[in-house]
Amino acid sequence: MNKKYIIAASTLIILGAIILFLPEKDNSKVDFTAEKLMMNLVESTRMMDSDEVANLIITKDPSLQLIDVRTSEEYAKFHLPGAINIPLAEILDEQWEAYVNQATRKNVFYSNGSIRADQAWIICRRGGYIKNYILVGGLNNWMRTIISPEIPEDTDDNLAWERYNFRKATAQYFLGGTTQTVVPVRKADPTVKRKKKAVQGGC
Amino acid sequence: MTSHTKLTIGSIIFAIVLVAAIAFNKESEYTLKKTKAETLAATLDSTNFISKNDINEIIKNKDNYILVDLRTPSEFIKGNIQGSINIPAKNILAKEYENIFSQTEKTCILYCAGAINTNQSWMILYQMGYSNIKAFLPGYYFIEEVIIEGQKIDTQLIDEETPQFDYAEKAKPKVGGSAIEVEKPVERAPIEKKKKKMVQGGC
Repeated sequence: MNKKYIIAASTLIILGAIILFLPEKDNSKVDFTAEKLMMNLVESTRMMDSDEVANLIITKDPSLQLIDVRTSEEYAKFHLPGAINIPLAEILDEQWEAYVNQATRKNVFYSNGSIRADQAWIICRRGGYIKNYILVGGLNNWMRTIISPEIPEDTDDNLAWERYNFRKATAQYFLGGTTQTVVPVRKADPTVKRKKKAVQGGC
Repeated sequence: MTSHTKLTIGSIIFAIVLVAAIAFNKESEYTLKKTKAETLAATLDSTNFISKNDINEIIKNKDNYILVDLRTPSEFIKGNIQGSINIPAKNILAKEYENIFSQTEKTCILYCAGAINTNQSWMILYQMGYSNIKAFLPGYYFIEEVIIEGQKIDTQLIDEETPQFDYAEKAKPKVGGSAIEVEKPVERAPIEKKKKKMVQGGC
């Protein structure tokens, strides 16, 4: 056999072997380009406002999973009903993987404002996780809108009043009472019958 | 055709294919170079976020920094910090700005009107591998009003991740289950019934 063929063949075999043992390309990095992430970020569906979340809590939506991304101390002091605590620093921990990387429930991240929740969201999105949402404005906005809603002006439109009434009702749900003032019906006083007195006197 | 020429042609074709394969397999320009774990670590690192105290120093000492205003051009024209450059948040991936982010002499300081955009832009640029970028979350209007004009504004309101309420206190369930605030009936002064005096006298 020709020597040259042997050289050529062995070069190809060696090249093949090199390709075979090349490290596997990390597709997670390639798939997720900065453009795709940016497009994901402008989607408004990932944002949930406090009315939407309140409605899901009250209607006991089984798909709702609130995730508190604040620290455990903050969580211990106060958290929304049914929320679990996954601090931002631990969001990628293996123990929480089943919570953040799933496709059946709606995970709503919240923090004091929007930033920490959004950071958690971006990191999860980067991992390819879906069905995560953030509570816009966080707990600060929650308190302003759901717990103590502002009374609209008389001149405001019906929508503002409808929203206000809804929020009053949610406040009642979350505070376990009502802030509605009930004016008791006052019964009319029983009419005092006047006894006719016999005419007295006279001579 | 001799075997020699065949071999030469073959190896030339092989080389062309190999070069083409390498050339087309080049990583996308917008590849996210940092992993999600690296991004999380950087997000938690407070040195990547300029504090309200440090921004004063940066504004005074602009030579070492590039101030990147992420607001829209129309907002930028209305008022901006001297020496700052305008890169609207949605255009951060544009080719023309690449060398601003990739240079290493000066640190880029990102700010926008709101914290959310600043945070998102910073997170995208960080993941693209630009490490010489920091974010100033309180935003442009903090710089304009507090640092340049010297106004005293409630800085707590600007920092949206700071709790603005004592949540536990504010959302405390009302005591006594249904805390219906019953309006007390107005106590009325008892009406004294006038006794009819017997008709006296006469005669």
